[in-house]
Amino acid sequence: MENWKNSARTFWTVIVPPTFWLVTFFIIPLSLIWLYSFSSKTGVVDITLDWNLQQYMRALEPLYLGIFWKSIWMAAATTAICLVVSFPVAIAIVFSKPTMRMWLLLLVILPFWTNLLIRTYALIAVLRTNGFINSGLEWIVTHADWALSFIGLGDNTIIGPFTPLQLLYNNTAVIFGLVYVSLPFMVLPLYAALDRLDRSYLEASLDLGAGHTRTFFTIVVPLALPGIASGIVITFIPAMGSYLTPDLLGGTDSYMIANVIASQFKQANNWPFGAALSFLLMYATFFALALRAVLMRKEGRGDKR
Amino acid sequence: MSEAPLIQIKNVSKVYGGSVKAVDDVSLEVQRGEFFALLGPSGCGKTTLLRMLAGFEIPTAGQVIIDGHDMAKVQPNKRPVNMVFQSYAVFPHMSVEQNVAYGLKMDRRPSGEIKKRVAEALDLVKLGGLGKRMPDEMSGGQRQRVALARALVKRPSVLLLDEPLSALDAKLREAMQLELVRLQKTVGITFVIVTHDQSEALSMANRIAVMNQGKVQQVAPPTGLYETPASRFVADFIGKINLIDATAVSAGEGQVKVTAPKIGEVTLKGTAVGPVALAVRPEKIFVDDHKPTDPNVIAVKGKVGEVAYFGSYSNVFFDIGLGAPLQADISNVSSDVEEFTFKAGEEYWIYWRKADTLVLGD
Repeated sequence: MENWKNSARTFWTVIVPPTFWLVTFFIIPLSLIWLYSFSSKTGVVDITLDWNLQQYMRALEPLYLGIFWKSIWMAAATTAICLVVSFPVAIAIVFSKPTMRMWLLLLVILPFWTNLLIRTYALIAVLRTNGFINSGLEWIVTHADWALSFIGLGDNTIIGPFTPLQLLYNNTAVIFGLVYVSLPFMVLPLYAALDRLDRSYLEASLDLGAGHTRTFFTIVVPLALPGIASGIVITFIPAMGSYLTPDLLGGTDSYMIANVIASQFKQANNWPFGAALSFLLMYATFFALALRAVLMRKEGRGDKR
Repeated sequence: MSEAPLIQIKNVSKVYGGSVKAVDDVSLEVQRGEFFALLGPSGCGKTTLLRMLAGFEIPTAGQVIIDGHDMAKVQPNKRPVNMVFQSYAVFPHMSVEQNVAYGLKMDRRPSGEIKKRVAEALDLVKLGGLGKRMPDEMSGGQRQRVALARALVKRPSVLLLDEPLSALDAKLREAMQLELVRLQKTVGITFVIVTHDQSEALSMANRIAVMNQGKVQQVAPPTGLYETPASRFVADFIGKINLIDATAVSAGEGQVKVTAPKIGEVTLKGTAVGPVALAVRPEKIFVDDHKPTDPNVIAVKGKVGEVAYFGSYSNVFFDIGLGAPLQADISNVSSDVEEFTFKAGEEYWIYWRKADTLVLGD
């Protein structure tokens, strides 16, 4: 690498625009929000910076801690389900034919190209009372009942009448939606990790007498650990801060922390409190990232090959 | 030795994508305790054949029998074979000990026995005391020893080795060749090795199968392959050889009458007829100023072309008026440089014994 002082003009040309961008649109606004979190609301639009911690104190009240906890729990459930669902998918893609692999990856990435709002409303169309799932089930139930009527068991004696399942506006719907949205974030890092994995490790394990299940847990999982950790982090963090999905699919008790933050900034018009909640969420995120870094250092030995 | 062969490969074929024949109707037998080599150029199907023994490839047709059992429905983890991979495949997240113990743990051996056998195996490959090391703290040669110990500790009926020495440098490779022969004698396990390196196969194996384009060309001990190759391909693949195109007709009693340009008509031992190749190894050729009088030799006149000096011998190319020059390895028996120096353009009589001449069909 050449010393930057030798080509100062190039250096400044390259460094100034991104720095300007970061400072103007990221660091300054974020700092403002950070300052708000230590301020007091003194009027309808007036905010005074008086370096108090009362916003944070309020944010740590049981009501909000409960919502934090719920967000963590929902995001964790989402991540766990994603991991379990994604592993077979990633394995299937890695072991498919090269031509097929491209199409399968495309299928995983495809939802990225659609707006989240559209995808979520599409999900509502599937899950709502007279949505695809419920009307499909209704069709099956009524036809089964009709078939049973030939042997005198019709008229809802065994099955039916059909009552639509309540699939929307509860926590299950939110987790379902989050899993649907987050799946590519888990599949792709897992795919990358498994693709790097030398097949001869798997063959060696089989050769030494391990079955497929034991090979999976003793060889594949430890060697794919960096990919698993990346997948967990990049699934968990956005899921934890998700706003749209709980807003549209959730019920009255499905509030996640981002919804509370939004309502503080909007309806409640309490920017300082919203700012404090935002930063608590960010601290939690940093904590998760730091935890990952520590864990990865421990596993670092197996990582480098 | 009326014992049944340990490995029987019967009419095995492997077809990829419906048309590519990686292995084409191969039949082989490997005896118990043999050091057997599968030798051939890359893409000849030798590795595919080895992987079929391990169970990683399923034969399209034919039968693989190991130790009297048909392997058709036997998964890799249930076969009495273990493999040393070309990349060694030493698990990077396990210590040397854990690597070697892996197979025994999978067999659910008691921990006392595992400990004892792992230590023995590490001593066998001269890695005693390095059990706690991680693979990334070891050299390529050491990692290979781990792979060997890991496979041998299971006491398989057959040890399969896929190009085990190809990743080592020349010096280490030679040392490992001797080491593998020593190991095989110590443990008495049948070794089947895949290699593209003829010197590796010749120096280590009891018997060698030469493969080309999915077919076995010849199975013979090293000396048999070198001195009496069965085909033009084998003769050309193993060592250096001069090949002169000729035509042969049968002369009865295991003899053929061969007609070749510049050489004329000679009657030689052999069975191949039609278009054949007269073959003679370079070290079996003599050079003289005068035409030899011995009727049991074939002699041609040649002009010295290129000369390559190798210290103990010189590899001399003679132009004998055919398309390809004839090469001779001439021992430098005298220390008088003038005496053995061949100068380009000089004419000599080149001759070799009829008994050393091979008549090879394609």
